[in-house]
Amino acid sequence: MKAEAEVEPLRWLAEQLQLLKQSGPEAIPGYLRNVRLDLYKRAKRIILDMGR
Amino acid sequence: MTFLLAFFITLIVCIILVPLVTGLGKFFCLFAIVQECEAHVFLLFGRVIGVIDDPGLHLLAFKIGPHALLIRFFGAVRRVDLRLDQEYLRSEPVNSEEGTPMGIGVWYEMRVGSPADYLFRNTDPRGSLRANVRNATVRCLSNMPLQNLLEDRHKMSRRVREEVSPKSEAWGFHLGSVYIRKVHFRDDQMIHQIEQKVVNRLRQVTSAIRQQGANQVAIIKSGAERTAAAEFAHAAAVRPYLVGKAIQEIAMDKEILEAVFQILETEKMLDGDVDLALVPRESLFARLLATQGAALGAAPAPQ
Repeated sequence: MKAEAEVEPLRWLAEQLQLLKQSGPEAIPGYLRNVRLDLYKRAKRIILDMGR
Repeated sequence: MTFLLAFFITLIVCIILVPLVTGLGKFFCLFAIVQECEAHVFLLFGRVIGVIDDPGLHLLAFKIGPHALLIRFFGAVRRVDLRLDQEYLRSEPVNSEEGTPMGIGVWYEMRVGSPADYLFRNTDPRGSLRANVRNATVRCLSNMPLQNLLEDRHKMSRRVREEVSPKSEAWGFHLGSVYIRKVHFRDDQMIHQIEQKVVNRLRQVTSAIRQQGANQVAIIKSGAERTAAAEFAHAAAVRPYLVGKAIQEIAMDKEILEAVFQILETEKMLDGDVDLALVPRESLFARLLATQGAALGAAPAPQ
């Protein structure tokens, strides 16, 4: 039961991403970038490459 | 006009005459009205010449005879209440067979069965009945085994009633139910000792019940723990299969698999208690960190 409960969120997430992928090729990369935005809030240090 | 005059004269005559005739009839004992649960005892020349206990209107000349007309002058009418009455005798002292001083509370009910006997055969029939019940209680219930005294009240009630009933009938009373309502100890020291014993016994019983409950809880708990342990072991055993199978299904599309793990990794980093440093992916600093294997939590910079 516990393993099934652990697996179910993975399945749901994959299904949702599959649906997202059908909406366009840039949908998933955009969404991933959006997810990583929260890392900036938690980061203690951010090193920026000024040359880029 | 004549009709109205006749009407008013009749009305006034009726208003005056009817109560007058009724009052005179009642005064001279032409009739008697007997209420429910009441008896009228008619006396003439010191003798009882009639008793009426049926409720309703009675014409005494027919019921008793023509000499009923003389009752008002040479006799009397006595009214007797026939309703059921009750009395309670508290703490009648008896001794058990073992010599224990006990008190008995007796409740009894009675009603007048013979109004004439009730009025004339005893000057204080209630007092006599009370004394008789008291005496019968003490006589019948003394020297009974203590256990019977405490347990068998119905039998005791019946014995007292059988003893009292014939005498009460002679005084015009009909004895109804007799109940032994209370049986108690009279000796204070004995009461205290019994209370102490009861308290001790209750403590023992409570303790035994508590211990039994604890044992049962322990048995149930150990059984539940055994079952839970088996279920956990089973779940742990099937976990790799289930998780791996799900990941395999997701991996049918590599891009989806990659996205799922990136999302999960990001969530773990956000939930975890770690110091995060964001470093551009292609920077010199990132390459240095990679070569030194520094134990610094690093995440790829957003694209």
